[in-house]
Amino acid sequence: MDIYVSLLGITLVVFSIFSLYKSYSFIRVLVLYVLANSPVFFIINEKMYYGLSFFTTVGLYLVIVEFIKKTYKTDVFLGIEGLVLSSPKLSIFVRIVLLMMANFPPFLNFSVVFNYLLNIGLSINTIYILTLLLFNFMIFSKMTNKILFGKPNKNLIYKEPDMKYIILMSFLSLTNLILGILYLLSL
Amino acid sequence: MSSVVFLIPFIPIVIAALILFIDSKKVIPKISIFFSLIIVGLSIYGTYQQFKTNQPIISENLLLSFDRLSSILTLYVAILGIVIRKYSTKYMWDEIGYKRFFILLNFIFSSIYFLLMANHLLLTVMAWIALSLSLYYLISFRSDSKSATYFGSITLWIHRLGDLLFVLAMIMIVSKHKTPYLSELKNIWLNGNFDLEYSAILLVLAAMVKSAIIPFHIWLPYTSEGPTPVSALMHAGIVNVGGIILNKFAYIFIHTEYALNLAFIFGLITAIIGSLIMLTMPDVKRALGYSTVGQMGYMIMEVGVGAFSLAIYHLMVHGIFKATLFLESGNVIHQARKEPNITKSVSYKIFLEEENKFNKNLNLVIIALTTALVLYTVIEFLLKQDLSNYYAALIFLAFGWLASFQLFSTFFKVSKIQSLGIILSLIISFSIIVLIYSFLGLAFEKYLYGDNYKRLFEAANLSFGLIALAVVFLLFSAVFMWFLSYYSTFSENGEKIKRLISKIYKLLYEELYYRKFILKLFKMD
Repeated sequence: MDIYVSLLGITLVVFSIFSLYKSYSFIRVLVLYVLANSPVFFIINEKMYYGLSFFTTVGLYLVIVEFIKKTYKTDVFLGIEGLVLSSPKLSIFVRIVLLMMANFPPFLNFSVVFNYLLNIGLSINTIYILTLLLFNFMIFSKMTNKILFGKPNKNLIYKEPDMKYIILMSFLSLTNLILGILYLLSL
Repeated sequence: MSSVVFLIPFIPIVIAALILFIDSKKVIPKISIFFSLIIVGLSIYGTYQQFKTNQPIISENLLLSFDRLSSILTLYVAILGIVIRKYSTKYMWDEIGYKRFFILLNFIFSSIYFLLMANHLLLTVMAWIALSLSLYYLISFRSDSKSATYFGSITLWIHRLGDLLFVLAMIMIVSKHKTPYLSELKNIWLNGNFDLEYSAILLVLAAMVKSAIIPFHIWLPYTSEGPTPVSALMHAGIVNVGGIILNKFAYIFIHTEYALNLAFIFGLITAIIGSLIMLTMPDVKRALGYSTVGQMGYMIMEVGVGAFSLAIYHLMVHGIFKATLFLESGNVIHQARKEPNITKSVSYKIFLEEENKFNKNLNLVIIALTTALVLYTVIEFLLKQDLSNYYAALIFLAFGWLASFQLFSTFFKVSKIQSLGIILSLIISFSIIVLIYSFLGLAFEKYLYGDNYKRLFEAANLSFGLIALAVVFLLFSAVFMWFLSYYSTFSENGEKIKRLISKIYKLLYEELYYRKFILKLFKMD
């Protein structure tokens, strides 16, 4: 069963990698992320932890996209660059969600997936997870360069998220982070 | 009480969290330096415990351990951390993102401490990946600079390759031994008999990526656009991670045949090519970058011959030296704008002065010193047991000739009149290697590995023929370079030889066209 899920996963990841190349819509990137990552549910042992990591990541991403759509009236991430310099608070949360998506430590996404990797040995599942990690990293790399870095757009009035958004984003980020640390401590 | 040392990797995170809520530029470095002093105190305490009990301190949940390797390196990193933070206080004062810089700096230090003290393989992987990430953010610190972020991206992609190799090595180790704890793995490796060739090779390759060994070196010389303190940290700390990780997993190499030979060959190539390219680089920071590449070649080669502790000694000495150079580089550039000639330091006056102005007393001192050192070297070779065992004598002979090769290569840059000075400096440097190695190196060896250091030398599995071949090759190269330089000045066919030298020079200046290849690969020129 696992073999078929992994083969399906690899196919979805390969498809997502090619689709990502020409995707500049926040939602389209999220769809690809969900598509490529969801088969992990069926093969991973710690489904609860993985589910929590997955939903906090998707949740945080959606909150950020909602804020960007509301502020800049766009779903496309071309033109909104230089957030690090022009909108530091928002850039912190964008960084966090990208780190979560790309399975970087010390978030729960890293701990669950890499602990699974260490314990399964070399198999078809390993190949699926490794290609998935590559895809997730490509999202990180692409969005970091397009949104976070670069010179701020002079034709855009940058805004920081208000308290309501900050509380929501902080809650989701901290939940993922604290669970990640607790997971590591419980090893 | 001794478990207090496990606070070390968490302290930089606490500093970063505190800085997040502080806006005063004056307070940020003060907090950072104050807490770093606590890390130094804890490291000294941990080292004292190591001397006292001779046992690694392992945390209750087995996640962290403070062993002899960490006792030396946490102290080194902590002191380096204080110097870099102190330097950054004023250097970064007018930069946008002062707070961000200090936060990122603390994250990178935390990653290094975790890597040094991790006992669980997942934690080691975490620290390894976190290090790549924090490095990327620091290199891309000037996020509005296209070239900084571009080379930052190249660096991250190369490091992700290293991450992949490292993770694969860890997966293979866990699947073979069914335990993720390094303390247990060390015992297993010391007492069992296994075939761990592939995981060890992956480990060597991962270390090569982090230590900028050719062909993974391109990220190092081109990332100096980041702030100077970051360059200092990169050259004194991060590139050393390859050597550190190979030492952390040293006993795995007891069960391999070719992994260390691979390290030796790539190290040798890197040492020679890196040092040669360094000599042709037109700007100070890039030259320093290639110098580090060359030095990392030496370090990996030391691991390759089984001299693991020598690599640790080398990385510390080189780190201090290179951090000083980087932190001084701005000042040198500033001075050079005022004075077009090379600043006349003591070494310049002794070895490179155009007119031979040695006074007789100095000549006598140098001759006496050289004779004493040469005599000492000969006696060491002939009498001391430790040096004739385990190829150690051959090893430092090879390194001595490597140093000489590098010195002879400087004939590219200096004229014929200074030949005597250079030969003198060659003999002295060679003898200093012997002197330091025989006093410090062996003591270091025994401190880190006890009697097991002999097994590591044996694991290198180097035949006399291979070492002898390397020495002959280096000797030949050195003499060849010397002849080229000499005849280009004195021979009637001097012009032809000069043209040949120019061609070699151009090839090296173009970095063997590898940079162009990488830029094409990453679609930017």
